[in-house]
This record gives sequence, C-alpha cells and structure tokens, in this order.
Amino acid sequence: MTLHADLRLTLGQLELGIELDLSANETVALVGPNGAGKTTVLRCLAGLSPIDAGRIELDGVVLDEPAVGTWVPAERRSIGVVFQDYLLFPHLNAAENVAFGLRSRGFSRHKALEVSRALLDDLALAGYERSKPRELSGGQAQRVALARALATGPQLLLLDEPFAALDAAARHEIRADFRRRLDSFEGVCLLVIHDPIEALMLADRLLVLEAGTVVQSGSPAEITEHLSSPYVARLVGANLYRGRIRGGMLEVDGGGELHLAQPSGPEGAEAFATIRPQSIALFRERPDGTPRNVWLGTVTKYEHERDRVRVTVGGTVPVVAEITPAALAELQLQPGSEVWVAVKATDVSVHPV
Amino acid sequence: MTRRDIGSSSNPTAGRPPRFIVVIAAAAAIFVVLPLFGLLWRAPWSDLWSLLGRDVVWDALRLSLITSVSATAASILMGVPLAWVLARTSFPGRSLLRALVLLPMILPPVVGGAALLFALGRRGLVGEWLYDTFGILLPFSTAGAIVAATFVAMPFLVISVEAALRSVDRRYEEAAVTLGASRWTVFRRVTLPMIAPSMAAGAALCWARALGEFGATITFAGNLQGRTQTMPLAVFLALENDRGAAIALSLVLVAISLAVLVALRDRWFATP
Repeated sequence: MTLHADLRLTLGQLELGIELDLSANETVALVGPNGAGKTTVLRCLAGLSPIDAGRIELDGVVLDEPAVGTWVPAERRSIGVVFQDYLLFPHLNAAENVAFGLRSRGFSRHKALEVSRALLDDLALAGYERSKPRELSGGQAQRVALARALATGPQLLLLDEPFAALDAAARHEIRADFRRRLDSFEGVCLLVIHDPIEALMLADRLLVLEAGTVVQSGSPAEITEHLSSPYVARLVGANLYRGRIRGGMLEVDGGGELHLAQPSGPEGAEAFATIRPQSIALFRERPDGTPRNVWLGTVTKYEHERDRVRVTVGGTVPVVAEITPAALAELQLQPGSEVWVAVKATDVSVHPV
Repeated sequence: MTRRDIGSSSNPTAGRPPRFIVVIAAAAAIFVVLPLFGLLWRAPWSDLWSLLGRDVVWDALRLSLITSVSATAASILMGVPLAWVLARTSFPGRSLLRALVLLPMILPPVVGGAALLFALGRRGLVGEWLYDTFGILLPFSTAGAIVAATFVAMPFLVISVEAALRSVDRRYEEAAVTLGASRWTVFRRVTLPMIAPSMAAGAALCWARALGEFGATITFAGNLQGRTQTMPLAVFLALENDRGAAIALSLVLVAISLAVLVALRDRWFATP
C-alpha cells in the first residue's frame, strides 16, 4: 500500500508545495516549526481542505486532482485521523466514540459497539467503555482517539501532534506503547510532530518542513548527521543514542558508554539518550575538570552554521559538537585531528524507550 | 454548575457600595416585587380551587397549553434550520434576513397581529389564496392562535440556537467527517447533541413567550372561549367582570413562570 501525493496550495501567507511518497510498514514524521504547513498537509490528505494543484493517490486510487476535477470527499476516503486534542465527541462515551465511524459506514449499533469494545480491550481500556471523554486521563483519551481512527480499518493513518496534549511525565510511557501500536499498523502512517526529539524516536523516516517545502528528509541518523537548515540544526541537531541502562550508565548500542546523572530507569532497560551539541566541550589535552564523560575522538569534518561551527567527532561514541569559530581556531582543529570530548553527566538526557 | 457558595466571592472591601446606590437598588427591587404581592394580597385563597375549576379557566388553561407547546414545536422545526442557515452560510442579504427574523422580538405584538391579518387573514396576501384553494381560515381559529404565538416566540429560539451553532467547535464536525459521516449524520449525531443545552434553553424561553402571548393573538385570532382565548386573554377579559377568576389565572401563570426560572436558573443566573 502506498501514498503518492503532490500537494500545491496557497493559504494566506503559506505557499505549500511538497511531494510525499509513503509506503506501508514505515512510520514517517513530518516535523517543522509552527506555521510550516504541517497540519495543512494532513488536512489536504484527509480531505478537509482541497489542494489548488497536484494530485493525491492512495493505493492506486486518485483522491484529489484538481486538473481533471477528481475529488473524493473526506467521508469517502479510507483515512483515519488522530487529531490534536483528540476531539473525542464529548456527548458520547468511549465505546460510542470508537463505534462512530462504523455506525456512519452502515454497521448496526450492536455490531459497531461489539467491534468497538474489542478494540478498546486491545488498547488496555477495558472497563472504560462507558466513560465520557472528560472522565479519561490524557493517555486514555489518546488511546480512545487512536482506536476511533483505526476502527474503520483505514489505509492511511494521520496523527496530528499525538503527544501535545499530554504532560511530560505521561509522555515517556505512552510514547513507547504508541510506537509498538504504530509498528503493528498495516497501512501507511504519517505523523505530524513539533518536537523533533520525539519524531526521532518514533519515526523511521523524517520530513523536515519549513515554510511549505520539505528542506530535508531521511532516517533519524541521516537527519542528525547532515543538518541543512537552522531549524533542524537548532532542534533536531541533538545527538541521539540508543542503549541499555547498566550501573548508572547507558551502554550505547554499537559501543561506548555514557555516565548518567540519574539512572532514570530500571537496570537493563532500553533507553534513548540525547546530548545537545552546545553542551559538548572539546579539548586538545585531556581535561581534568569534573565532566564524567571524557573520551578521545577524531574530527571527521566541521561546518560553519551561522555564528557557530558544528564539529563531527568520530570514535566509539560519535558526536556532533557546536563551538564558536574562535574556539575552532584556538583548538586548530582539522579533519583528522585528535580531540578530547567532554560531556557532563547532567547534560545527558535520558528517555525510556 | 450550581453556585451556592456565596461566601467564596465575598471580599470585605469590595462589597461596600455608596449608600444612595443601596437606597435606589432597594426601591427598584420593591418596585419589581410589589405587583406580585398585590396579586397575592387580593388572591381569593379560600375560593381558589372552585375558581380554578370553572369552564372558562379550564378552557383557557387547556388552550394555552396546546398553543404554547405547538408554537414551540413549530419554532424548533422551522427555527433550527433557519438558525443553521444564518450561522453557517453566507449570502447577500443575510444580515437583513437576520434583522427581519428577529424583528418580532421588539415589534409591538399588536402590530405583529395586524401584519399577520394582512398576510394570512381572509383577504390577506396569502390568506385569500389559502382560503380559496384549501378553505383554510386562520383568524378566529386555534391554528391562528398557534400561528400568532409562533410568530412572536420563534425569534427567541432562533437567536439562542444560532449563537450556539456559532460557538460550536467545528473541528468536532470535521472529525466526524473523517470517520465517514455524511453531512446529515454529522448534523444529527454531532452538531445537534452539542447545541442541545442551548436549544433546550431557547425552547424554554420560546415556550414562555408563547404562553404569555397576548397582543398578536387577540388581534389576529380573536378572543373566542375554547378556540382562541388563551390564559392571558382570559385574564384580561375576567378583570372586567370576574376579578377572582382573573387573579386565579394570574397565579397559575406566575407559578409557571417561576417554574421556568427555577428550571433554567443555572443557565441564566450562573454569575461569577
């Protein structure tokens, strides 16, 4: 199953022009600053806004192509949407919310509720069937919204900021659970996420949208390696590691370890760690200060980024550091130079998988 | 939603207005409450049950119930689609249409009744055709009393439902559309339940207005006992020759009005 979309649309200040080629079994995240057009892309795909030009084709069926006058209205598209704030119908209980799509598609009330209950049960929401949306926690409401979107068996699943309405404490746990659910979804899945770190953790592929165009796309690793825009550099440009927690450290997959300020998870648990490039210090000589994480690496390249320089250092734990041009000159760094990398344990943020 | 914690809003310095304001406020309160006491004072309490049992009273009560409930039903049937068009569509002259629709709220009811007579009376604009074609004669019939009550009461429903439609978060309707709901399903299963509280309040207000309707009814439908003589008309007539019945009927109306106020207190008196 595939989605091919070429979206052209002018909406006030925004000039949207992007091409999407998505296939099933991959989760793609659309990231970018506010006003970049992320939500507009979802609205066009869902059929809530028509495009001015271009073409949307889902699984071989053209949904929108203004040039030939093809337009499939939203209610006839096989698309599930999880909205920001979820938009669960306040007057219906959880089971009725999930059953809504099936009822609209002609299922009997009895049959629709039966499917709905099974889905809620599957999402660990048994016992909440009769709860009204206002009685659910943020995480529960999110799962009901996901169940509602999945109930009709859509070919395309669109998720608009699925974590924005959750508090930070709830996010960790829910994100991991969510990732598993998305992995088991068989259609095409597109996420809109403002927080790039979250996108890096959830998506197989990222599209960075700025002012209506895709400025960069690739896997999380590719994105963090080649930063092509200030937004990406500032927000996505964190160093991201995956590993296991052991004895107050993160054993990084692929070698190396990072000291953590707090274990932040049970022994042996999988976790992500992020380090902001600004909090990495580089030295020619081994520093004898307090940083807990100190290792020797080799400069592979550096790039000027406005008033900063991004230095890529290879080694057991590869990092990208951001330093001033003055520091670069003082350190006399060249590709191939050996350099000491230092990171304070408190600058390593840990996110459970 | 009930707000009975009077103590929470009392700030020791805020609640001390100038003395002359208190005096005027007290006078205003007495002015509003006094007529009610006048009514209670003259009420023939001992004969009340026998007065309420009279034919003229029962006829008026029954007719008032029929006309006001019918007018409310008609207002909902016609007023909700009208409110939807006013709130959700855009066409030239929409503001003018809204002004005309709401006009009966401020129009003197007698003028409304006269206008109805010229439109739907036997020699009226449409009335002549109605009579010649179908033999329908609205004036001096119960149907006419219902038409008059609907004319003056419907704007109360329209204004309430239109405001509710404007304030509904339309993203819920979009969510319903992405779930495969047709426009009619969206209206029936999402929009209507979401505006239901406002619609109920509008309907109550509309019903109360229809119940109290006097001017348009007496002008358009006349004052025939058992056919068009609703309670307000009966009260007016009884004041001439049967004070006791007039007061008894008035007390019934006061009781009904108070009941509506109590039922809607959360909605109208939810002061901060």
